Amino acid sequence: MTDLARIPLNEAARLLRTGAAVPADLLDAVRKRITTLDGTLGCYRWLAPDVAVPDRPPPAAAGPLWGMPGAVKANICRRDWPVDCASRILAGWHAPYDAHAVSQLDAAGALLLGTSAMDEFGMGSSTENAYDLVTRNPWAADRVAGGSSGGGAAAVAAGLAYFALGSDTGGSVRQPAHCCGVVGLKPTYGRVSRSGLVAHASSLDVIGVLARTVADAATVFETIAGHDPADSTSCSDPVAVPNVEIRGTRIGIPRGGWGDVTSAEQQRDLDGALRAMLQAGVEPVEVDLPPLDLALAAYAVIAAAETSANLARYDGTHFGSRHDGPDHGAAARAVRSAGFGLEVKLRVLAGAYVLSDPRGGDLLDRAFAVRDLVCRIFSTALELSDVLLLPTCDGPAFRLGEYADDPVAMRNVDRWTVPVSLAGLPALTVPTGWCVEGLPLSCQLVGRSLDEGRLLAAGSVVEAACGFQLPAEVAT
Amino acid sequence: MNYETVVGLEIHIRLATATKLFCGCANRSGGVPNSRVCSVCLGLPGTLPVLNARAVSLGLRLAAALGADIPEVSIFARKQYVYPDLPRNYQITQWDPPLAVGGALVGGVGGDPWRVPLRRIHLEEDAARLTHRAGADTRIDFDRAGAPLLEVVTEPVLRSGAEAERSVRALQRLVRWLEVSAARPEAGDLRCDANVSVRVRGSAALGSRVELKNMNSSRGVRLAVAYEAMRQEALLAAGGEVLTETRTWDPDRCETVLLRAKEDVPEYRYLPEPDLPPLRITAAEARPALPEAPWTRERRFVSELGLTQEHAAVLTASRAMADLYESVLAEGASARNAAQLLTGEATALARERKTPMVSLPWQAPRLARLVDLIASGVVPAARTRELLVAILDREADPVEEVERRGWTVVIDQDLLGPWIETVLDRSEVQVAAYRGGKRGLLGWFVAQVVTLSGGRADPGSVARLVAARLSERA
Repeated sequence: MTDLARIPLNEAARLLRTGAAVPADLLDAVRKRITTLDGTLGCYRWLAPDVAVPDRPPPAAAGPLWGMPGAVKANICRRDWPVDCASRILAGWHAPYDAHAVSQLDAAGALLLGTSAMDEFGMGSSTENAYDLVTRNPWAADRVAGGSSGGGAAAVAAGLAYFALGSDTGGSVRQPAHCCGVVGLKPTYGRVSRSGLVAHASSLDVIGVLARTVADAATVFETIAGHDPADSTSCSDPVAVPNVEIRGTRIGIPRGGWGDVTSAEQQRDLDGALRAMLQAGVEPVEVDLPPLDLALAAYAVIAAAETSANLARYDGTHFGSRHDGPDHGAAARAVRSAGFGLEVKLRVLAGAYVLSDPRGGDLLDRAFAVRDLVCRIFSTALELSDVLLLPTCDGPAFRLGEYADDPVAMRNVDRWTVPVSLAGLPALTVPTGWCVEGLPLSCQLVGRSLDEGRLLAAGSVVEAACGFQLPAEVAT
Repeated sequence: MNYETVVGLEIHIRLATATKLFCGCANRSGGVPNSRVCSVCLGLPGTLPVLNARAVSLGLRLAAALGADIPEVSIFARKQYVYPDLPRNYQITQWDPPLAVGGALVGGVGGDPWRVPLRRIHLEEDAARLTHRAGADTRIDFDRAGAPLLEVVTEPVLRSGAEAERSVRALQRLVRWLEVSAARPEAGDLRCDANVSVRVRGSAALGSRVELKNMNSSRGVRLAVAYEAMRQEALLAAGGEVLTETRTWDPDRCETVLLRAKEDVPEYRYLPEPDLPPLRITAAEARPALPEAPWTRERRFVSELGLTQEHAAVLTASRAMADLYESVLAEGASARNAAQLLTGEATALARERKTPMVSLPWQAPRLARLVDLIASGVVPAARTRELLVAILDREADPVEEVERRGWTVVIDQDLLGPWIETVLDRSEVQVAAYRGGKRGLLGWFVAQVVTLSGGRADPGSVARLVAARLSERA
């Protein structure tokens, strides 16, 4: 029989509803896998010592998240949890409040197990940039899980959680979903409150979902999305994931195809996804995409500028790790020198440079201009079509340490995801198949602003057509 | 060499909102340190600012009253500098465009008008309060962190400490008038920075600019600017050079002290605030309903009511004062006499009771009747104070009070006669002197009679009768 910990969330919910299982069964199954596998995989940074398990059947009003064990990325606040963002500078800091998304999960009755592994402050694409923990790809021990939400993606893939909350600034939910073979949803910017999400680059940060199926991702998304007065950038539009009729939907394909996708297998999977959609009655439309390299450069400038301001508060004065010094400046320098990792320091310095007058002001303005351009081009593409079909990445998960000496090259991994983030559009990564090296591949669907409903409907079509299956067991 | 001082002011006003600018903590001062803080105003990870709509509307009130242009969209920015009084190491402030642009402070409308054009008005958050303990540590009180401030920046057109003081006072009166701020200098509600430079009179170029910080009162501004101008003039006169630097005003030693030299000036690395969408102001919001401006009212008191410039200024020192005055007029009192009563005896009584004039339980109809009684000569002016006390302490009606206590002025010859005779009878020497030609003694006789009557005798009538009586005997 299939391991209970590895079935989709909505199937597990059905078992609870019919009485075939109780929440303790799900929790035990997941915990058993955490005990045996997490030492190797490194999905969790911290596990809550006490998870209150309901010992009664679900109340009539309970939704599918009731009693469902899940993981929360270590940059999303939960009261009294060590939300350290995988940074030494926040070691020992306990969040004094719950993020809005976490409160929503609580209200839905989900069981939150602990904090999932990540790159420090969400900066990275491999979950190697933590001071103490690297996450491995469940399907190849020498490969990365992707990042920065690598811990959550690996946990969901390998049955160490039914779902995970991640955060996506330039691809940090979609790319690890691609690497681990799970579904990754980055909602529209502002769809999910950022209240309680530790800021990386505030105009780009979105809380996203990692799940085993498109339906599971939709379930979690509907629970955490919605207006929150504590976040002035949160949308007030109602959240509904209606059953969208996919027939007649126009799918946008880049003019000339995905010519610069470097992997032939990735190319094959995209073609397969497109064929599946055509068979479902979707009409193809050729559209222009923004220049990816320019978008990547603009992203680097904007994200660094915002990062440098967001991370300025970590000086050890009134929270987080402390350091003595002859004066405040010296103590702050000492805390920051010891507390931040290399990638974070690089971005903070780049941001300070970008914002320094007189040249920096101009750099930032030019980056904003590129961002406007990217938005306009996407906007045109999404007038001609309803959903875009793009790759998530050029190829499968790379090797651990592959970019250790070249952090700038690592950022190129995100070239398909970053432009979408700049435009704030919703995007969904759906696994499509396996490459010869035994690693998953995926496609990325991009929707109109606030149109997650159609996006998820299109994702279901791809999912059904591809028949993607995860391996029976984790590679060791 | 003949020098000229050039001053521009940056005045920070703490807005009278219930809560801070970006969170729900109470916006008050005093009490136990760090008792009004939350995750947001402490800048803890994951927290986000939410703009206080009340602070915006108060800012718009002031901007509209100053005649400033209010852009449809203004933006917030992060002004970055590392200092322990800033919880996030950046301050959220408005950059370009700000809440309002232009406008002017005006004053001296009674006869000596002046006008100080403004550069901009913007919203920003206050920093925490640091207490440096000599030879020990520094304590941080975050209660003030995130308090809502409105910064008003003047053009550099002021020419002296006195002009700077006048501008600060005018702004202080206006923000209280509009109930935008309590503007208590002692509570730090009003804090001033001044950019001061001197140049040879007639020169168009500005001299090196020194930024003065830490003036907490209009008087402090006057003294600091005057001192700094003197210091710079002395430097230049001695062939020296004024350095661009930041100095702080030391009120105890009455001098400005170097805070930081130019090369240490922080680079603020402004960044548009991604956590706050652009602030949109509707046309209706940009034109709030405002009370009549203090300078308009002051001018009206002079031109329409015929008050002196001094009375008009005192009666428009606060909106409550002007309202009280006009409510007395509405009861039919004469303008000048009412002004005399309120700025004279009533103000003196309030001072004696150590209570603000407008907080005392005056009642306009009673004050109006009192003004009438005195103006028409029914009651001697010497009774004013007692009647005011009766109004305040016993809610007495002045007319009834005067009747009850028999304070009516006596003009009847039959009643005045006996008092006059009594005085003349006991004043043989003075009578003889008067008749000998010392006519100046008439006033002395009148005073004697008025005193004898317990203040009731009408001095005019007495004078007439005494003069007639003495000439008749001669």
